[in-house]
Amino acid sequence: MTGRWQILLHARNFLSHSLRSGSGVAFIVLTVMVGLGCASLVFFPIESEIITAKEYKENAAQGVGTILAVVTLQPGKFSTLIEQIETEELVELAMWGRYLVLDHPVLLSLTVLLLGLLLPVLLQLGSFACIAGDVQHHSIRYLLPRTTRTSLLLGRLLGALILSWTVITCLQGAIVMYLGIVLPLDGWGALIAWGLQTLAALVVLAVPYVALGVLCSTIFRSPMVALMGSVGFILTVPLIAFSSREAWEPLGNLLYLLPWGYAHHLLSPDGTVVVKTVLYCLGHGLIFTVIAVLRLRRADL
Amino acid sequence: MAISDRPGGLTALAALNGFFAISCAFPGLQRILSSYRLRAHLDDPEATADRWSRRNLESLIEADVDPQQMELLGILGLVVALLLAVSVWGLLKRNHWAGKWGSTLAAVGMASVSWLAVQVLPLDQLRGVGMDLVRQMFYPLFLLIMVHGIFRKDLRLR
Repeated sequence: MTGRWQILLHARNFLSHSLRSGSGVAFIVLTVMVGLGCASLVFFPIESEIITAKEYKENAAQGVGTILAVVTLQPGKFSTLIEQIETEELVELAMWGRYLVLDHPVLLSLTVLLLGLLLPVLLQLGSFACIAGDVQHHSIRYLLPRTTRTSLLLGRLLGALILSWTVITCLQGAIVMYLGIVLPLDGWGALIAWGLQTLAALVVLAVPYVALGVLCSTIFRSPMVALMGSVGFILTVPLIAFSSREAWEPLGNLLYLLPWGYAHHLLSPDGTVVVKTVLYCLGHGLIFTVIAVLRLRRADL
Repeated sequence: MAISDRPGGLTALAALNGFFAISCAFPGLQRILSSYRLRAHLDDPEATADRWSRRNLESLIEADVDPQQMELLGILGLVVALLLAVSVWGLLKRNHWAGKWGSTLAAVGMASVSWLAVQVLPLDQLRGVGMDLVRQMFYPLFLLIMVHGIFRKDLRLR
C-alpha cells in the first residue's frame, strides 16, 4: 500500500475512533456548547433589548479597535490605547474595527473574534490523544509492523484536522442560520458571504493549534499530560509575553511563538495581509508537524 | 478482573446524561413549586409577602400562564431527568432498552420541554435566551445521532 493511502486510512480510522472515544465526545460537545455559549453572550444585549443595534455597533467598533491595539502590541497602557482609539490616533486600527463591525454583520464578527480566543484551547481536546493514547497502552507496537511512523502521524493529524474542521463548520452554520432567521440585522447575502470568509479564517487558525496538540501528543507518553502540556503552553505564551513586555518591550514578541500575535490578521480588510497570515498559520502548523514527525521517528516506543 | 471493552464514548455520554439529568431535575422542581405558589397567589394575592416573588408571579399571571401548564412542564422535566438517569445506567451496562431507548426518549423529552417552555412561559422570561434554546436542542440531537448511529452495534439487543 502506498504512503498516501496509508495516511488516508489512518485518518479514517482516527475519525471513527475519535467518535467512539470519550475525548472525541467531550471535544464535540464542549466545543459546540462553548461556541454557542459565546454566541449567546454576544447576542444577549440585542436579544434582550438592553441596547439598540446602532448603539451596539458604535460601542463594539471602539471595543474591537482597542482589543486589536492590545494584540498588535501597540506601545502604551490599556487606558491610553482606549483614548488613542477614541481620538483616532491609531487610524488603521480604528478603521479595522469599523470594517469588522460596521461593514460586516457585527454579531458574527464578534462571535468569530471570541471563538478565535477560545478555539485554540478547545481544539486540544480533539488532538491530545492522537499518539499518546496508543503509546500509553502500548498498542502502537502492533500498528508499526504494518505502517511507517510518518504515515501514522500524518494520517492522525489529518483525521484530527477533519474532525476539528467539521465541528467548526457545524458550529458556524448553526450561528449563521440563527442570525439569519432570528436576528436578521443584516441580509442573508451579507451573512453567508461573511460567514464563509470567517469560517475559512477559523479553519486556517485550527491548523497550527491541532498540529501543536499532535506535537504534544508525541512528546508526552500520557494523554492527560499531553493535554495539560498543550493547553498550558497555549495559555502561558500570551501571559508571559504581556507580563514580560512590561519589563522589556521586545519580550512582547514572545507572543509570536504561537499564532496569538498575528491570527487576528485573518480578518484584516487588506487581502494581501490575509494571504500572508494564512501562509504564516500554515507555516506554523508545518513547523509543529515536522518537529512531531522527527520526535516520533526517534521515540523509543 | 476483566478489562471492560465498553467504548470510552459511551462512558462520556453516560456522564453527560447524568449532568443533563441534574440540569433538568432542578428547573422541573422549581416549576412545580412555582405552579403551587401561583395557585396560592391567585387564591389570595396578599398571602405573597415577598416583593420579588410577587412581581415574578404577576408577570406569569399577565402572560396568562396556567398553573396547571406550569405544573405539567415541571413534571415533564422530572420525567426527562428520570429517563436520563435510567439511560446513564443503560449506557454504562450497554443495555439495549435502558441505554438506547431510554436515551432516545430522554432526547425527545428534552427537546419537547425546551419547545413547550417557549410556548408556555411569558416572553419576558424567555427574552435573550434564543441561542440558549439552540444549545438546549443541540444535545438531544447529538445524543440521538450517537445512540442510533455511532454506538448502534454496542447497544444492540443481546
